Amino acid sequence: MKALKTKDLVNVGIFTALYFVSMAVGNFITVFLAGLVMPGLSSLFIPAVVGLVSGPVYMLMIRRVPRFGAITIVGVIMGLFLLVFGHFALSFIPYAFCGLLADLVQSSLGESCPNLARYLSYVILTFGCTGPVLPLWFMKDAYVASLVRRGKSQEYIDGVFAPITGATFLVCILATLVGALLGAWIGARIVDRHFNRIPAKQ
Amino acid sequence: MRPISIYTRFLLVIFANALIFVTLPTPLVLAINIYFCSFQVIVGRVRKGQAWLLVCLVFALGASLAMVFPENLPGHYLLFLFVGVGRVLPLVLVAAFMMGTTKVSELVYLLRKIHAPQWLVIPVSVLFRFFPTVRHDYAQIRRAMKFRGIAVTTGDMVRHPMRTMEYIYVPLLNNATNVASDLTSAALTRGIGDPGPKTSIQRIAFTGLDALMCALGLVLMGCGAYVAMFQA
Repeated sequence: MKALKTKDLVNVGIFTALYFVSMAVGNFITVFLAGLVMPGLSSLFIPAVVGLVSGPVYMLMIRRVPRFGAITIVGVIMGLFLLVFGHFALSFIPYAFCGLLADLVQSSLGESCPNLARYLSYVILTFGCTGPVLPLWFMKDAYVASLVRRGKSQEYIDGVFAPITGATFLVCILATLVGALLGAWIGARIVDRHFNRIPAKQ
Repeated sequence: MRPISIYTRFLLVIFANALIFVTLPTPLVLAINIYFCSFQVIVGRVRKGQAWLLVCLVFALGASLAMVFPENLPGHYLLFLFVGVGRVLPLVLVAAFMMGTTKVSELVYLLRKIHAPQWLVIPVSVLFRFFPTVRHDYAQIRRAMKFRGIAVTTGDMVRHPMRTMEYIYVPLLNNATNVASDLTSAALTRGIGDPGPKTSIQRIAFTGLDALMCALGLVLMGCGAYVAMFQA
């Protein structure tokens, strides 16, 4: 396992930028399509849509920078980005953690079964994107506070949210899983078809 | 037009993130939001500041009307919109300010100053400078697609999402790989791989204005903390 050189770091920076752009696009699509129907709740599907659209970037990156550390850096920088630029600060933790985990998977399985490794690591990285869902919890908090001010009893509020919290959590996880797998498949297909002539660096 | 130092900016980020944990009365929230908007005006983006101020006022109005919304689905929808989304509004305000006015060189200077590792500094500095390239490339790609009669309208793009993705991603990624190698050569020539200390043309001054705004922020934060404690 070789250390990252300057060239790799520049590559990682550029792919992180592309990953960020595709994430922003995914974010926009989700908010635009689902946000009108259910404000706030639409953020549940952000990880899924992000997973769906950013596959090609990821697949090309692990081909161009096949070294341990690359995916971790993507995770850490995305986390920092969310932290500084207006998402909730704790978003940093899942992204950095999932980046590291995806990196470990990719570097340990990458040699023996590359296909499994890249699908699996992509799905793991996509789960890092669940950070932006967290504000929903605070939105709910504010909503509950306003219900209390309206004179609703605690039982009423519990009744409203009891079926939602568990189910939404599950929906979010499942949607993310499906979106990420589909995105990984699209990404792998595009990259295999168009970038096979570019030799993978050793 | 006065610059706001990067230290003040980070205080803003911390403040906005702390704010999301607590429920505050509407007037105080409005005051804090106006405080965030004022930064846009200070750095000279008056129109942006006015626009955000309007958004804040709408949300404040919506939140103060929370009691009169009817007890049905649209009523709850509006309530959730104003109260729920209003809760994350400070974050959005700070993000709009940070995104629009933070210089990359300042950010890199700060990262170097706090001795962030090289594996963080290089990607971050590359990342921000690459965004304009992406936008430019995307415009070029779209023009080329239209020229060849592929996905001329937005509707066509939506109808064939797979094809759209492929036609946009492949040239974009192709160009990215080229830019990466060019940029590496340029950066290495300028000595980015040199282990010695780096200099920066960027000077960061913490001015009286910064001190004033920080003090104001701390006062508002204090008020927020006091009210939050008092409520609990």
